[in-house]
Amino acid sequence: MAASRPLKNFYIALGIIAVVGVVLIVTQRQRGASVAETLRSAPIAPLPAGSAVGHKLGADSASVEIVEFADFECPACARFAILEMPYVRERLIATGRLKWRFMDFPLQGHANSPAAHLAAGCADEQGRFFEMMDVIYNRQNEWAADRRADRKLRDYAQQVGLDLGRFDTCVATKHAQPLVDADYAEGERIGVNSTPTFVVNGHVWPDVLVYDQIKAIVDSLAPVGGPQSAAPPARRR
Amino acid sequence: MRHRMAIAILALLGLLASCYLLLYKMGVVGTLVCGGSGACERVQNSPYAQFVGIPVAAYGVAGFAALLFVALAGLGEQWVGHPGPSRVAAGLSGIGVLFAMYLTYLEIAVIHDICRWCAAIAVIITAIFVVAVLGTRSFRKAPAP
Repeated sequence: MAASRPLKNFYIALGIIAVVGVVLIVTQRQRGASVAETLRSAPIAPLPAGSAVGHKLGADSASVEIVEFADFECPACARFAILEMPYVRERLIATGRLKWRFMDFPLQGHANSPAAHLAAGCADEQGRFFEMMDVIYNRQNEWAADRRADRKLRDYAQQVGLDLGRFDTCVATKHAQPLVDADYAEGERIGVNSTPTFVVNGHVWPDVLVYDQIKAIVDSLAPVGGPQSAAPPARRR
Repeated sequence: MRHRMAIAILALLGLLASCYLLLYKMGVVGTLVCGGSGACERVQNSPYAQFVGIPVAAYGVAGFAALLFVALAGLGEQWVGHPGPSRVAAGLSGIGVLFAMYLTYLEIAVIHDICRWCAAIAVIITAIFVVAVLGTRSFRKAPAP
């Protein structure tokens, strides 16, 4: 029986570790309070209902709206789109808790970005903006430094199943350009100077978001089973 | 049998960490405690956080649970004098070390972010492997009566 005492102590230690570990996981909480504080101190930037409509995802009934100003040639935007956005779409937008609005903001100095935004705008005319956006971001390394980026963009249009005749006409006539310009002007108006910039229920978020923060924002502003929205009201300037 | 006790404690720690990451992956835990850098979320939300369609964390949960079971079984009277459980633990953790090396390579070379939880799990599985190998060798030097 000499060995039973250390074995007993071992099992007790193992049990304590298990209990402490489970308690730590269970008591993991969202940082809801910091979300509310951040929104209170964030600059207010309500978007007008003019021509700057952007590209929308999600149900209109969702009480939380995030507006993203992004540039297709910006690596941080691609990183967000590839790593974070799939979960945002699957867990928050598809479940009706969040609506999303993508605003074109092609930064000056990114030579191929205007062409990419125009191509996505032309895809939007055929109802495939987000499909085109995904390919553009995923292939950013391929077209961003290419002198004939227009060819690559046309290939992507074909990949996402666009009517190439209509796409070519749209690109040649720059038919979708006014909407891109309107989004950009709206970004300038509210002081966007880097991408991606996020506006949460009319408040400019001070940093780049990741999925867990977006979930914390949604949980804080529209808790499941709670009131539709606890968001601070966005006041017009 | 101290090495099996050590394996059991390490396996339990690895199991808890893997459960935490799996719960995050399942959307149960909304925020990972990760130093505020967002690196853990970027790694966990990357396409490489799944292997053959299953979250990598799930492999961790299964692997550490198996190691915990083997280590605890090895402490039972009928297995105390046998090297079998230690060899099984060495084999399982060896596979785990290779998998952890592959995932660490992805973090460094492809994702360009280090998830602290993943790094901790890689250290734990490596420690289990070392302890299990040393435990197996101790049977060669001093075979059980």
